Amino acid sequence: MAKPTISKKPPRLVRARHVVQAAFLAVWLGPFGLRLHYVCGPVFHCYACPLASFACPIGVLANFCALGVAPLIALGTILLAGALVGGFICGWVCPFGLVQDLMAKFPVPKLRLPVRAGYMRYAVLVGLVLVVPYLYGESHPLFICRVCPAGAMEAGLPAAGQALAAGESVWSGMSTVKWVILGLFVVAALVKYRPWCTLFCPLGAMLGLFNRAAVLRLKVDDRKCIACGACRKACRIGLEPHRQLRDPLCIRCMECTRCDAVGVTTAFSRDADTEGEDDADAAAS
Amino acid sequence: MAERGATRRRMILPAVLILAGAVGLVYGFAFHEVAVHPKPEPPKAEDAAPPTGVPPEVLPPDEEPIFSPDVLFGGGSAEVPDLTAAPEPPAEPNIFRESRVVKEVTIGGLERLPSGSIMLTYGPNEAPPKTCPT
Repeated sequence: MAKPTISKKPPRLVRARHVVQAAFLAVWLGPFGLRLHYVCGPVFHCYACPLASFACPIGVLANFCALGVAPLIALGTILLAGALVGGFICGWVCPFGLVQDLMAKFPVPKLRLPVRAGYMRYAVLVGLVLVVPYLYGESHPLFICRVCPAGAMEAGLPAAGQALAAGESVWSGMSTVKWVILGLFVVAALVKYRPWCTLFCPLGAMLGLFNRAAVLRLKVDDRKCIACGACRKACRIGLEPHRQLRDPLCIRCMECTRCDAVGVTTAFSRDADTEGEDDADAAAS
Repeated sequence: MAERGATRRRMILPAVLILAGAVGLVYGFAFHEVAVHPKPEPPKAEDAAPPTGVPPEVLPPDEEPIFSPDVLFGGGSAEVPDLTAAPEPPAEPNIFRESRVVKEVTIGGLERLPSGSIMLTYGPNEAPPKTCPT
């Protein structure tokens, strides 16, 4: 069996990821005045941001629950994007993920929390996006948009800036709760890698479920993998990529591809079956 | 042959999900409609029903006034018009496509009434809210 090669420098896919993230900013931030707020983008980007091109699917989902209307456009967008690329949206496309990636570059020791803390995302999805809006409406303090750090950063900060420019207090541009949430988020993003994505993001919670079924997926070359744990050390989420490539918590950051036994494939490829299934799953099948 | 069968099986679930997403999007944009009531005009002050009943009694100076509807508006059969209650929406709603509803929620332009109806939060002669109120 050939031994895998472990790369010390960022692999090609990680470098490509940063380029793609930056390029997609031009789509989400509509520099040419593109305002298509009747369409949902498949990313976590507040539609109250002055430059937002599309509507946030989570905000739309929550508001539609508050109105009692079926959110077909938002759900269709999430289904289509998830079925095509799954968690790649989180790692390669989402602008709020890019903000957290940039903040993680500060040389501050990073906390590592238990991986299963990521299932809090489903509590946020069910509680703050679906149940609270449906039962209590948009004015409830726990309505997702009222506690969302993306809204605080992308919409609240510009609003506070506008208030300041107009000679008013910055507090009139954004509520105190949002200022506190923004402050907590900034601290968290410095001391933990992607805290929103890994612990709270309801959109990531949905897209991660498609990691099992998306057209674009990761694979492990069983002929090279020797279960040395190098991919586990590289994984910034705390997963074991050689066994958990389809885990819903994986954001496809591609750090595990430092080992050349891990790569990208599609559902059409013949080698897509080598996806690092859990040993228990393999034994059961 | 076995590989081809495995490849086909692997493609079924993504294909079904992609189809479901596409159908949801097409139906949402092209066919899904929502009834939205326009914001009714608020009642003018002169149109409000005047209070009925006898004028309030003049109380002795050493007694505390009791500001109850019975004192202000007379006998128990008098009704106090509640001018702060939201006026009921008119009978005929407008039909909005779902894409229009998506756009309206991004600016806080819709609200759900206790009756379950959906109403615009701004009138035809008013500027729409600039950003989502949250």
